[in-house]
Amino acid sequence: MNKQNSGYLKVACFIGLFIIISFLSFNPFFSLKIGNAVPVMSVAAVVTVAFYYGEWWGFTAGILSGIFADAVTSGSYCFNAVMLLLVGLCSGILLRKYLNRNIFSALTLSGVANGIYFLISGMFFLANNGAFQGAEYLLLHSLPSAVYSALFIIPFYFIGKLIKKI
Amino acid sequence: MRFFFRSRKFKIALAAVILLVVFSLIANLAGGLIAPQSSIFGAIAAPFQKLGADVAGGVKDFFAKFQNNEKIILENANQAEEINELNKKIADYDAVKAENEFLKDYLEIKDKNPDFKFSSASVIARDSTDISGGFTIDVGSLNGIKQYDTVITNAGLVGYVSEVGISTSRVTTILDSSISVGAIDSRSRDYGIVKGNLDLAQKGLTGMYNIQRSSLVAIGDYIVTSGSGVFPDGILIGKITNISQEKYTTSLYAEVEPFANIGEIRQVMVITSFDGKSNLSVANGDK
Repeated sequence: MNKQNSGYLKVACFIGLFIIISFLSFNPFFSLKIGNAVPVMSVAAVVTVAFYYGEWWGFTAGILSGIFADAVTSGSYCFNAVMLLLVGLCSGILLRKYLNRNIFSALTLSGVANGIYFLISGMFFLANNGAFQGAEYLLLHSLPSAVYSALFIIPFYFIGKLIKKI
Repeated sequence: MRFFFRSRKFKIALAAVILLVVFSLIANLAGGLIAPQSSIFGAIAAPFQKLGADVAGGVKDFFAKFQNNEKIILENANQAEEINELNKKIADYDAVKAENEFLKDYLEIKDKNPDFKFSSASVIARDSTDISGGFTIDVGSLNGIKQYDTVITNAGLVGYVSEVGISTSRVTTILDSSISVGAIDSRSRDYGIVKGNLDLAQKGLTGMYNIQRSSLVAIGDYIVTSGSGVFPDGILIGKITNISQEKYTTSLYAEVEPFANIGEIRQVMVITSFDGKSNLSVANGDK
């Protein structure tokens, strides 16, 4: 397979991955939630793209998946688009400049990115619902969701590795 | 790092962020519109989302059916094929029957309220991080949907349209803390405000607040919309399951179990118009 075709195939594989993630995250009939922990897999997926292809592909994946997430998330306006593009961009830059490319770096980046994502979304909830309910939401929903979502980097890391080999 | 902030890449990223924020602010200020970038993206994705929702619904039904039939299949191993065949027929019959009942119920609502104008819609996406069960439907401004239009099922009130896109809209449910519905007890005619909160939403319940202490509300009473604000009157909301004293006031507070099963809804009706619909109450906080 020549280099150009291989590139197209890689892009197609990642588009397929994001479609599956969107289906699992936003279909109306089932979700992968465990107790109060609801996964937002897009964050780990964007970190994966930035991990293997650098900050600009991370940026592109982040903005597109974020705009889609905003289209189906109530009252989010551009929250997901801005957060995910920043996650893609910053992950790529941090990896290029300061981190080694191994699974531990990926896990760390995913943990930090998910932590910030859920902390900020929890702060919005707190601002709208008051301190008591906001604190309850942060502890009982945001924290377990951040941990659960961060763990999705493990399968994505290996999927990304497979796609990279194409 | 200093060089990064001067780079062309950083300027592109910054411009993208600014554009997204500006578009979203404009949509917000325009009132109840989905941000244009998301609206366009949503319009493109809507048919695929609908297809995905149908597939997910089919898969769920298939496994539910399989689980229910497991015992029978084991007990009647010799007749397994026949049972499967019959089940297929029953499933088809059930689907047709359910659809007929759904349409019949709406016809009844329509007969009782000739002033109602409906637009039917399917649920195409659900935000699993939204505890109050908010969802996206496959109709938008092109179908005449406007912000604050009432959303119902044949069982009762679901919520209202909070944001409108070109061909999709987002629905805020009665479990959400941002909603306030003027409501009355259908038996005692006592008035209250139905409003969600985090704890109740997790249990699939909503709350009725500001009920006078001298009221005659009782567990098991049916709650209906009072007709003040953007919701038409007489729409069933739910049943009272518990009554207690409000924490910081002298009023009573009731837990209400909605008749509409918010987490399992597949089809809804949007009431786009009815006699006496007013937007004044929206400004006064009754959504």
